[in-house]
Amino acid sequence: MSLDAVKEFANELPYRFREDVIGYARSVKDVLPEIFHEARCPFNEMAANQLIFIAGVKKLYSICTSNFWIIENSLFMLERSEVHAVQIGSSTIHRESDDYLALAVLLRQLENLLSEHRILHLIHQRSYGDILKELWS
Amino acid sequence: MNVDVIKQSLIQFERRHSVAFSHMSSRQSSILELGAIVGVQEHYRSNGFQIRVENPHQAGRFFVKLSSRGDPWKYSRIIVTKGKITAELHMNLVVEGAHDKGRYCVDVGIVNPNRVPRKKPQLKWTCLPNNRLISFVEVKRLVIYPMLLAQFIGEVHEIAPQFLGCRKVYRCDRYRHLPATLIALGHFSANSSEIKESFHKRGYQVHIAENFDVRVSLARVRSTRSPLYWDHEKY
Repeated sequence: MSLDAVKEFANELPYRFREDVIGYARSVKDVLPEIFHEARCPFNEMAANQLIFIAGVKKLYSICTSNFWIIENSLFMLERSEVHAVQIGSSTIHRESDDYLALAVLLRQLENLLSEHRILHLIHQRSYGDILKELWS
Repeated sequence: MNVDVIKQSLIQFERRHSVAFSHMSSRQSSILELGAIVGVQEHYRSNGFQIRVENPHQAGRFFVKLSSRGDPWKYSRIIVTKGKITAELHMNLVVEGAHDKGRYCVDVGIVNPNRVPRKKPQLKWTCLPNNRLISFVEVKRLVIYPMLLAQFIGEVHEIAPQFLGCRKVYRCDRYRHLPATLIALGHFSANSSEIKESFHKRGYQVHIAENFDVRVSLARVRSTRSPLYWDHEKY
């Protein structure tokens, strides 16, 4: 059921990201028995659905963070070599450029949204067993 | 946790940022390749190399080469130097195969100095001769699965087979020139990490840098750390 919820919110994304988000959530769905077993929790459908949903959100969050941080870290490290802007095709990226600022705002607002819904800490958890234990409690 | 409410919030959020998502999607590969060449640059810096960036059009602006097309003299190159050792780093460089006249585009080419022209040559420049290639880096935005490793080893076999031979390649290890390297955004899936260990047992001089974004974040905090190697990695 929550794979449907993932598909619904992923449907708004560009094709490549949509496939990433749904594919990742599906891969977590496939290993649910192992996650419940490792977390020593009896199977529970509601927790399972929530876990699949969290997986989809986790992938969305990782797409946003990795894109922003690779740009940010590249700019930071290139500054050590006196480079302050990057030309990619017809776009120039620097700390005041529209593209950079749009990505920074997007990431901040996504974190705020997840925080308001009290799931940001779950997204930051690395182990699905730990997420499950938290959902279970 | 109310899945329906969060789902609706996410839908509204994505609609609000649809332009940013669209830009991100179309540039993701270029951004990852930029991250890779900067990561290689920082790897050399962490090993005591001096770094100089040569930008063809404008000082202070790095020109990213997006594909195999395009003349290399129109894009930025990075020169790394330590004592008598010098190399150049190029993005999306076309290199001749080691066994035949096949041409391959490597994401980051680590090459002998002054072998890629700085201005348009009189004779048409098609690719770097294979014997001028020191090493190369491939970048993937994927989790590392067994077939990806097999594909990478195939590329090494065609482009830099010396890294698969019985004799170690001189001056190529984590402290000097990079061995042939695969960078990936994802983690090791299935039994990929066992395959990686097996490569080293077989004497392959290849390096696999998984979770690249995490590595870069750590290197940013500590400039003496290579973004391509965890502290415990030996090869």
